[in-house]
Amino acid sequence: MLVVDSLTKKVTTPNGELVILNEINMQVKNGQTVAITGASGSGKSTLLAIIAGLDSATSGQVEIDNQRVDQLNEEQRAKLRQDKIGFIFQSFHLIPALTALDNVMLPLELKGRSNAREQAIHLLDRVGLSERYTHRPQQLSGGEQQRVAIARAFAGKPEILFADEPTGNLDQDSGDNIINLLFELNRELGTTLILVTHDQNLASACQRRFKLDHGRISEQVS
Amino acid sequence: MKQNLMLAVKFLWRELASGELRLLVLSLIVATASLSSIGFLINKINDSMTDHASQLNGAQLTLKSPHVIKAQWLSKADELQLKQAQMRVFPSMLVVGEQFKLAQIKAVSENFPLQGQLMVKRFRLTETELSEAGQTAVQAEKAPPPGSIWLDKRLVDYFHLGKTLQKQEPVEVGEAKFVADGILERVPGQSSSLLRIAPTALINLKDLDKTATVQVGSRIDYIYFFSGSKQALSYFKQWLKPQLQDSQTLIAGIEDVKALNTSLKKAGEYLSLAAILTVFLSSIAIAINTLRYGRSHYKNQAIMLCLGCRENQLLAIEMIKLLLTGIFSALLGIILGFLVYAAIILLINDLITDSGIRFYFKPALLSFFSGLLLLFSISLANLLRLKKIAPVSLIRNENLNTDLQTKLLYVLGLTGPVLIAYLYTGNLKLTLIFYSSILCASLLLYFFAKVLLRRLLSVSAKYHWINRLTLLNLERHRQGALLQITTFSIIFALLIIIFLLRNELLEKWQQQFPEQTPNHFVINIQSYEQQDFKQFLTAQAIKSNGLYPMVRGRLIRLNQQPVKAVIPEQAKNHNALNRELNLSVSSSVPEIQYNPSGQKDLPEISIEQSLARALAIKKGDRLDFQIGDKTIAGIVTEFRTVKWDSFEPNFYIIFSPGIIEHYPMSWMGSFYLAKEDKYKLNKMLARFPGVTIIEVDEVLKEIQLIINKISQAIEVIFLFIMVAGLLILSSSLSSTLESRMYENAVIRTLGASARQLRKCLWVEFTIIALVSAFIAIMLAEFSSYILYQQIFNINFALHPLLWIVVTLLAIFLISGLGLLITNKIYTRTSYQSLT
Repeated sequence: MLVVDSLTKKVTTPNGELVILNEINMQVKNGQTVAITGASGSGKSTLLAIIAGLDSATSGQVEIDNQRVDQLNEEQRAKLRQDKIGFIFQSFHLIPALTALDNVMLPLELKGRSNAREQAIHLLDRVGLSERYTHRPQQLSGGEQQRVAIARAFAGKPEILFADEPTGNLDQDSGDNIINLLFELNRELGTTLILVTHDQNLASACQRRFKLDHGRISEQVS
Repeated sequence: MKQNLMLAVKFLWRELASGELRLLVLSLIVATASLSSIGFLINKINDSMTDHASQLNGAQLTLKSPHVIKAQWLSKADELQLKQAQMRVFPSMLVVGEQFKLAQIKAVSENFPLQGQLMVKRFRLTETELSEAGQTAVQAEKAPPPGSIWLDKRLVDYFHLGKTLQKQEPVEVGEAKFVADGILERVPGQSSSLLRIAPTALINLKDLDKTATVQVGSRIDYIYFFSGSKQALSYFKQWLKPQLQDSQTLIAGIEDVKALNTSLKKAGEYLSLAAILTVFLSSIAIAINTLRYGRSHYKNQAIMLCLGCRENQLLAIEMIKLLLTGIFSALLGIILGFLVYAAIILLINDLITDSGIRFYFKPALLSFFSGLLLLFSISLANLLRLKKIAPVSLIRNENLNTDLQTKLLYVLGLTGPVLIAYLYTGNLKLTLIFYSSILCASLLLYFFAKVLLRRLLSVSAKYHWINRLTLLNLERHRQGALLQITTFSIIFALLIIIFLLRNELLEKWQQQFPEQTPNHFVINIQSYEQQDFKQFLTAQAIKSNGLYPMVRGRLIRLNQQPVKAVIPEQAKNHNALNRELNLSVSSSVPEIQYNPSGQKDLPEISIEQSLARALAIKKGDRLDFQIGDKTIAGIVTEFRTVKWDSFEPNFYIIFSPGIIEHYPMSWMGSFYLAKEDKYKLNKMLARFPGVTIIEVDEVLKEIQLIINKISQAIEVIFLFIMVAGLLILSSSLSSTLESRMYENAVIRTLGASARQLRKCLWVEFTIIALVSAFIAIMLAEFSSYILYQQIFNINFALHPLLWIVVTLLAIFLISGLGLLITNKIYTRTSYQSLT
């Protein structure tokens, strides 16, 4: 269960204080799919970063499975990310020197799993990249890179997967494939999926949708 | 830990395979290779000295004296049951048939060496014939049997012994004839430890008198060797020490020999500077690559943190990667260094006493750790920065590479090379002087290059000499261009200077002598031969300025005080105090006019000015000299300036007539002999076998040979410097490659052809090459002007041919390598670069 309570983020600019997130409250149950939408600069990515423990809030609290993320130190946050969190980025962010297989193995190796290779192969097969194990990111298309990123994100069997504009850099077809893949894996593994997106198709495929507007959040009910 | 190690190995392997670390690894290899090769070489020098010490004359104790020592000293050694051996060392002519050569003759007693090994390749005698086929393996020997002479390989080659002669002609030394039946491989107790100008010939001491070469006034060293129980040796040493004269040297161990070889140690220190310059240049290349690596890996490290990697784990992985990179590169560098050192030894093998190529662990270990130190000191800023990586930047899509602290990198990065320089020279002052000069010179050159480049660009823009795109490129990558220009200016200037020193200096110096400058010295002419010798010169139409008497004596007192007690501190090690000087008499030197103000009962002395200055001797001072076991004194009444390169006999000390003539003296002279008249030397030696002729042109040839060999060795070291420079070029170009690719892709979408882009790049690199060559030539010409005109007094002329060669070389290297590295720019499509 993810609980966000009265989360506020302010930054100081030369023109004074700027409120990016204002008293954000939300609760997400395990296994739910959630979309956060909003205009550019509305604070979507900041919210995602704070919930995922990559950034800190000015006030308020974030709980993941009854654990206060905002009270953890960097070492504990790293452990949390390793055990419970996965990421997918708009720019894929694969490590260029590593092959597709190595990229997927990486989170498993960081956890010290002895069967990292087998698991990574299984996941690459699952995302349809059986022929691409030894390819480097620059040898793959955008859609293929994002599939590697998805395989990597699910490799650690995370409880929550944060996806930042996962289809933002892809064409329509590739984007649709990625969406299908994400939701299939979400169903198979029971992972909570929190997406930040502009893509209305993607947002409408989620069980819950939140909209950020001038730092305030509201849940949209269809 | 194991997990981190596995991850680090995987990352490193992938990065090495992708070529990402190529330049970093290469730079580190070059730095380690240059350090290790010099390290091996210096150890070889030390080893050579130690070798000499440990088996010096096969003795635990060696006494070197310019004259026969007191008989009671030898009796004392007998009394203490010390084993003894002796050696006499003197220059003399070797004659084989019509050929002759000056050699260092060593006459040794039967039991030489007492310790250590005299290694000789013996020829087998088959009926009075010697043949190479009959040569036996190298073996340890005692002194040559009477009638035999063993020669250095250089002499064997010179006289073509053992190669072409089936029936060998005898080798003559003075009046004695010898059979050459051995080639010397190693002689314990070589008088100079590493470099030898005159080759050595070994004979039995019993044959010395037969040669009749050692006469009154001969220049000869008497060496006595003692071995025995530690206790007896220690007692003998303590007993002997207070009785020694300044010109007598007692060598008891390695440290004593090393102390005598301070000049070699200094040479080693200066040789280290070449390696340190390579380290400095390599460290620039490493720093550029580290910066680039840091920038390109910032994102990867942020990804790692997102995937749950802890900061300490990330730090550990990066440290292991660095360590493995360092170990890998340093090991390769040591192998390369060893190969280069072996090549240098092969190059100079006939100049050194022991040309064995040995591997030394100490320099290998030192260069290994220096390589690691270099890498870690430069990478420290990158490692510290790991703590500041914000994984959130991946989500915000911020500029991921702005956080590098370049200033910190440079400051920390400089500590490594400075520490290494100190480790290698062991001389903090030299290290600091070296780095401050190199930094000042670099800064000066940098600003000069900046002004020059700016001026060139503005003029070029005004007259449209180069197109706008090249100008923009040079403007945009100006820092890189200036770094390249500064580096290459220094490297090319050093190369030119070494080239001139090697090829021109000695030759120019010789050329400036007037025609018929004496080119032969003759020494060891006995008084009874003097008149005959003069007549011989006249009869043979050999032009000479006469013969000069010579008495060998040692300066022992100044104003009746022991000389070392009253002269300035810095003069106490002056060479003139530690050896016998050639004293002459004034009547034979007509240009000297004496001031009649001297004390009546003492002769007057004319002293060479620089010696007087060094020892703070004033007019009116009394000087006492020891000649054999007698002492004579004189009053300084004149200072003389001596032009040593006139090749006339010159003396530090000249007495007025009256006293010195009563002492045993020999005569010396100099004369000119054209090449075609050289045959007259054979006649001279046949008529006066005891005299020693020093052929100046032969000596200069030997010196030129040594200079050539040594400069070749230095040039090998300079190859490292050149490679380090090219690595800086490659690294700084590679660091701009991404932005160049992007810019050029945009330009290509606007219609530029690959040919146009290539031309732009070529012009850019050629400008860098031209400016570098121009500054290098100016620097080198200015330095050689100072060297020629101010130091060697040689007429200076510019070297236009060299300008052309250096300019073409610069264009070839800089433009060639530049185009090679930037090849990617036009082989990749615009689409690939823009997406």
